[in-house]
Amino acid sequence: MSEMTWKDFLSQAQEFLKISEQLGDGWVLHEKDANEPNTFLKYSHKIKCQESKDSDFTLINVEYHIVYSVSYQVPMLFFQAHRSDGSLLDLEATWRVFMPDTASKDLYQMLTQTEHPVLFRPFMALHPCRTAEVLDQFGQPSANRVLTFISLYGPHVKLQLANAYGLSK
Amino acid sequence: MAHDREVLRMIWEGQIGICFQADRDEIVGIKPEPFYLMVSRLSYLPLVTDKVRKYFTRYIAAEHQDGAVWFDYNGIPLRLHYPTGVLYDLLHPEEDCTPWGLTIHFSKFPEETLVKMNSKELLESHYMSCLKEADVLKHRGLVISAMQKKDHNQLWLGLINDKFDQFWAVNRRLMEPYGDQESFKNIPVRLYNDDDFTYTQKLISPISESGQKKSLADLMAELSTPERKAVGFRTHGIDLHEETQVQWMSEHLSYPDNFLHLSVDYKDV
Repeated sequence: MSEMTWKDFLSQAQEFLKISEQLGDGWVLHEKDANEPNTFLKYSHKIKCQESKDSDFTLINVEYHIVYSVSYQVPMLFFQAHRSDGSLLDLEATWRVFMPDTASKDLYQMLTQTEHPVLFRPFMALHPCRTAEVLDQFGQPSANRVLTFISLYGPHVKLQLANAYGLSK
Repeated sequence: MAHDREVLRMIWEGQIGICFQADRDEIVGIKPEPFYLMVSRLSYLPLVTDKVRKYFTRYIAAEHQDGAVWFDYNGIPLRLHYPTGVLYDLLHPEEDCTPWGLTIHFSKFPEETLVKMNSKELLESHYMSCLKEADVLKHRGLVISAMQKKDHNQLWLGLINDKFDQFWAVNRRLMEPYGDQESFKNIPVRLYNDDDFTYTQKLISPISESGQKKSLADLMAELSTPERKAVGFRTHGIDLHEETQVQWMSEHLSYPDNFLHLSVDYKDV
C-alpha cells in the first residue's frame, strides 16, 4: 500500500503540475530522459534569512526537486540554496538556516548532503526512511500522494504550498 | 548466505597503490616529494588519508591548512563518498600497473561537483544511509531496523579499523535472506555507465520470472536495448564470468556499503 511505482509517481506528478499551472505558482517538470527516475518536479523561490544570529538578513535562492526514489519507492525532497553572490550554502550553513532548532546529532539522520540521483551533483536531501510510513498515516489511498508528500515535508524546509491545492488543514 | 569466506577475505584485502602529490598552486617553499600509500579498495579516501594530509600540510600556505581536503585524478575531482576501489576501477586505465597518481588539494573545494565529506561523522552518516537503502532493497529494511545501535557501530568500526571478523560478525546478518525467503527481494547494485560516475538505478530481482536464480547473462539481457548490448561486467578489478549468480554476487562481492558496484561494458549494435 505504501509503495508507489514509478508510473504512479509520474502520473501524480503530472496531475500536481496541472494544478500548479492553473495557479501559476511556478512548478515545472524536468525530464532528463525517459528512463526511471529521470523526470522530477522542480520549484524555486527566494527567501529572506539570517545565516547566523549576528549577521544581516539576506536573500537566498532555493531550488527544490521532488525526485522518485527507486530503492524506497517513495518521493524524495532535494534542495539547493545559493546566496546572491552565487555561492552554494554548505551543510552547516543549510542546517543553520533551515533547521536552526534541531540538534546536529539528529540532523545527521534527517537532512544531509548527498548526490542527486538524476543530476549527480551535491544536493541537500531529507532522508526517506520514514516517508512510506508517514504517507500511509496521512494520505488517503485515492489522494495524490506526491501532493501529500510535498505538503507534509515541504514546510520543514521553507516550502509551502498554496491552500488552493485543495488540502484540508 | 555468504558461505565462501575465502572470497570474502580476498575482497576485504584488496588494495590499491596511490602516489599523492601536492597542488603546485598551494605549495610555499620547497616542493614536497610524492607520498606513496597502499589503501584498501573498500574504504573511502577521507578515512585513509590522514597521514597524507599531515605530510603535505607542512608544505602549503598557512591560510589553506584548515580547508576542506579533496583529490583529483587528471583534473577529475574524486567523489569522496565513493569507495576507493570504485573510483579506481572507473578511472584508472586497466593496463596501467603503476601507482595511481592523485593530487591533494586544501583549497577551492568544488562545491557544485563534490559532496563534502570533511568529517568522520558525515562519512558515517552516509555509510549508514547506504546500508539502510541496501537493506530496504534486500529485506524491506527489516533486518537493519531490528539491529541495535551497537551493531551499526560495530559495522562502521570494523570498516574503519580494518577488522574483518568484527565487521562480518554483523554483516553476515545483512547477507542472509530474511526469515524463510530463499533470496533477497532485490539486489542493491550500482550499474556504472561508460566509465563515468553516473549510474543506473533499476530494481533487479535475483530470481527470474521463471523462478530460476538469475545469472549475469540474464542481467546482460535485461540491460540490453535494441541499440546497445551489455557484454560484460567488472567489479573489484575483476572481469566477471557470465554464469556467476546475481544472488551469490550480492552476498560475496558487495562493498561494505552492501552495494554491488558494477562497471557495465556495452557494445553498440
